[in-house]
Amino acid sequence: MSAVRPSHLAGIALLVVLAVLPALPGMRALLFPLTLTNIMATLAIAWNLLFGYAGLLSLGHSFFFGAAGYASAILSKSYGIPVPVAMVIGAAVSSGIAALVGLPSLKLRGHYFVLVTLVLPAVAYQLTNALDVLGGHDGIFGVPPLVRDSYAVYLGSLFLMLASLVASAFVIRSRLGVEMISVREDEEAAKALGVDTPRVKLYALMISAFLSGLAGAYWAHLNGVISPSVYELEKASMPLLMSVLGGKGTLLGPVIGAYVIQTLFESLKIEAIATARLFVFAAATFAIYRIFPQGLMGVLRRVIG
Amino acid sequence: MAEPLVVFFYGLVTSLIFALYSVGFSLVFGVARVIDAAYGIWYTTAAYLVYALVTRLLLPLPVTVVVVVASMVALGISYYAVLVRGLQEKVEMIMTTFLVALMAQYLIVAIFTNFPWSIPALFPGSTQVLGVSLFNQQVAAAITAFLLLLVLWYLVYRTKMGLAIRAVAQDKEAALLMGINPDRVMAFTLALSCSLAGIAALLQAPNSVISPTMGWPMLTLAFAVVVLGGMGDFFGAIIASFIIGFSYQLITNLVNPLYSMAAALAMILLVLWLRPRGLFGRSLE
Amino acid sequence: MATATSSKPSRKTLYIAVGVVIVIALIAAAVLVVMNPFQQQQKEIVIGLSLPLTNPVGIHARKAAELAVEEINAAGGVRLKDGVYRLRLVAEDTNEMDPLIPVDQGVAAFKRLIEVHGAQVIVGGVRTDVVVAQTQLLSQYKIVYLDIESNQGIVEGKVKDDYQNYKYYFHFFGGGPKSSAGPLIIGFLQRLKDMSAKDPKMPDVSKVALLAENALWTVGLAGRPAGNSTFFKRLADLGFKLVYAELYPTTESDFSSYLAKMKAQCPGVIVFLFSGPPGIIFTKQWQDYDWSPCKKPIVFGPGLLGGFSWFWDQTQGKAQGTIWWPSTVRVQVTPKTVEFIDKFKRRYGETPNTAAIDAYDAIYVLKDALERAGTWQAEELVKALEQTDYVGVMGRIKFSRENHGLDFTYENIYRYFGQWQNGELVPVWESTWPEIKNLLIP
Repeated sequence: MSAVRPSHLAGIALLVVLAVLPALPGMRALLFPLTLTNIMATLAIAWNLLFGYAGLLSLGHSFFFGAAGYASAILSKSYGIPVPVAMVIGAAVSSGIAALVGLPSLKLRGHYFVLVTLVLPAVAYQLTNALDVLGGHDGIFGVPPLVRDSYAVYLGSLFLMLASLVASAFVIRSRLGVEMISVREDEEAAKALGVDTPRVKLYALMISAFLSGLAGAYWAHLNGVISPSVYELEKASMPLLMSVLGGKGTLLGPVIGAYVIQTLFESLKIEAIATARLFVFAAATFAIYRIFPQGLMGVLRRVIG
Repeated sequence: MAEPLVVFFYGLVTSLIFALYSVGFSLVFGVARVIDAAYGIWYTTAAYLVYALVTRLLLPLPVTVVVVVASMVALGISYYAVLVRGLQEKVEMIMTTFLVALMAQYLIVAIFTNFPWSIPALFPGSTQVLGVSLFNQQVAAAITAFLLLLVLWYLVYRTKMGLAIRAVAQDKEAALLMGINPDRVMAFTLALSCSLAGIAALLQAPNSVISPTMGWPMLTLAFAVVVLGGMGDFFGAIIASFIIGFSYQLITNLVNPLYSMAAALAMILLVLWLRPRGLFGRSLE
Repeated sequence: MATATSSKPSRKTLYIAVGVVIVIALIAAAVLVVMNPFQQQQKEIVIGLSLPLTNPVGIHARKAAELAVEEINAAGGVRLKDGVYRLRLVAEDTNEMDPLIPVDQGVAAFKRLIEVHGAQVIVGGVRTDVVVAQTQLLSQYKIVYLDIESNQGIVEGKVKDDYQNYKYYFHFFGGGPKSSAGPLIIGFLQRLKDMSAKDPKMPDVSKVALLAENALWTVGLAGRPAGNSTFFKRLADLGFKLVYAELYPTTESDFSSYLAKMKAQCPGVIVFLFSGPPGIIFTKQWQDYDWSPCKKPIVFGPGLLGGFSWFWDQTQGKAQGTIWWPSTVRVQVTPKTVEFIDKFKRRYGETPNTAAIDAYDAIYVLKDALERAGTWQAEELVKALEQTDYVGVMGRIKFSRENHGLDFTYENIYRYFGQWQNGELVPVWESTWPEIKNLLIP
């Protein structure tokens, strides 16, 4: 990061706009949707780090998201641990479980990792549903908030997203990042060059789970409640949708994807299409994907370049 | 107490139905190498089709059966021709098929609301076998599933089409050299899997309720069967269905129904850990 | 950052692009400020409906609310201190009737109603967990919440324990301390037992089986583990024997194993607590099941959907003989009851369900309270609502500072038990009747 580049200036300008916009009079309505967007963007960044750079496809990031949310909710509510600390521990729990589950399945090639990640949230859903210790079907209520002021919560989510972005940029430029990309491009060749591929994949998975966990914990404290449905389809599919739509394997792709999807989702909340709203949403997403299969980031680059 | 008998009968019924709707998925996975995230939605679609035909258009049941199977075949072929055929890499497949599933699901919500409805049984009532009451519909479903699995076995292992399917599953390029048209084989496989989903819906849905999200657990289950049985492995899929079906019923009856699904799925994680290539570690020969 | 890694674009185009982005953002901001969504329309009170809008529960509640608002506006609106106001409805989808949908959609809908649509009062609520989650936010927003359909007294309890934070909550459905299902159900079971002792055709009702959905609202009645509740202790004292008790997961799709275990005990009555789709499956399977050598047990329960007008169609008529509480029986509870049921049916072609009745009454109670308070400000409105003594469609609704829920000592449609008989919900018992009438033995 040598000289100040125009793109950096543009980024800073956009960030300032994002930070100030909901504070303007009459803009408070944007606070909650934008906070959610930032959290989902963080989750998408985490997913993209794993798939876009290490080539590992996960269909179950809702698990890492939800597990950390649960851990953080329980720690802060029942054990009185301060919320920021609980969030970090929660994310670490996610990361730990990821290591445990990932260790055996990462040695394999092909579809097995995909299948494991698909089954994980389903198991977690059924288990939390059945166990009263985890709040059972209705989940855990009264999760203490990080801060009470919703503008501060919003700024926090913006910071979270930015921090994950910086963290993934840092990872990608490190030695680990280079190794990750080599694994993605050609695992055999990477191995031949002396890259310890299972270790690289494991680290990528743990970092990704940690970031997803932070997002999940943030989300649990935002809503004040977390229930088994967090493991369901929506949170599992969204990061994939957002990253691919925005441009997988690019740093900003997931963020752009998250903002586009959430804007689409929110702007479709209009009376005229009440019952068909979700259908229109799905169809529009499908159309965008079929028109720009390489992601919106590619289009943006072409326009600027 | 008739508990062992209950577990035996219900386990048998559950396993055969599981087998019926995972074999199609397993074939598509093995032959077309497509992870069909929309597989569950075909089951849902067929169920709503039955509902619409029977309760809204008031068609007699035999006509409904024919219409449903025929439209599922047509759906499978056009699904292949329009979408699946052009799919190349893994993420593209999952994205496309998943978005198709979402669209179909929300279209169903828009038409029928997300309130659960039910379909009248083809075989109403129940019968006692050795003191265990069994629903006629379930018995019929199990028997039909068994017969269909036999037919499928014959199709895959004893016919020319089956040979072609197995050839494509093993090596697409080599099959092409041998004069097999992989396109036709894959279209056939997708039509087959869609119609199997349709038949499963005809047999199983009347026992339960239909709702727009009913297909997702089926997809998870089919995935689980593939993991356990090995990709595209016909017998592996059937044995895996029996393992999952019986362990599910065992836990429901002897431990607690609240844990049965979690335990069945956790078992799959365990198997993956111990025997990462599936229980049998082969694929469609 | 990422753009810089690609082939170097010319500096000029980049500056232009950045400029364009910022200008667009500013214009968008300006436009939104001008079209300020918070700006009050002249003399309007916005009622936010927080409901599952793709589900008939929410659809009915919304239709009933629209009906009430139309009537009130047509009759001249609401008179407050500073003039006459019109009522306006806005609605947000919580999707809460789908048990797989996260609670957070309910929270998001609640926040959107207030922050995007500027709602001044919230009407809605079906699933207990969603209501609990939403009402955690009441003190933050200082907004009145009229709960129409959740069937637990959890939040009513919080009004007592934490008045300052929960006083904004009022409950138009059973389940609270003065409208609890327990005594009603015990009363009904007792009458049923007396009846079965005299009638040899009936199964032995003293043997009770319990089957309950594994969800928050069944904890009180069913207990954890199943059967371990004061309700069942009371039943045991009255000579009932609990022969089977089980919880089922809300994702259950087949009850064969449960029925087989139940049959081994030959229960005379199955107390069935459900609120989701599995209730339909259970009803169908119970009807089709071969119970011999036992007599077919009577199914009876507090199940939200059981007393809805669709339940008959949903089960393809297999609901025949099942008894439900609450149920919308067509009985003249108050002079307004039958009139409303018929009016709703004429207009929408369907018998209104409980959610419709509650929503309709809630809007009228709100209107009266608004006029008493002279303002929609929550602090005064709460005080006015606490003085409510209103005879509505469901019965007499009387709130006080201590009681923000229904009170079944007054006449109420939710004191009735309805049995499905050939597509009609027939009232078979009301809590003041000495014995059961018109019962159809399955």
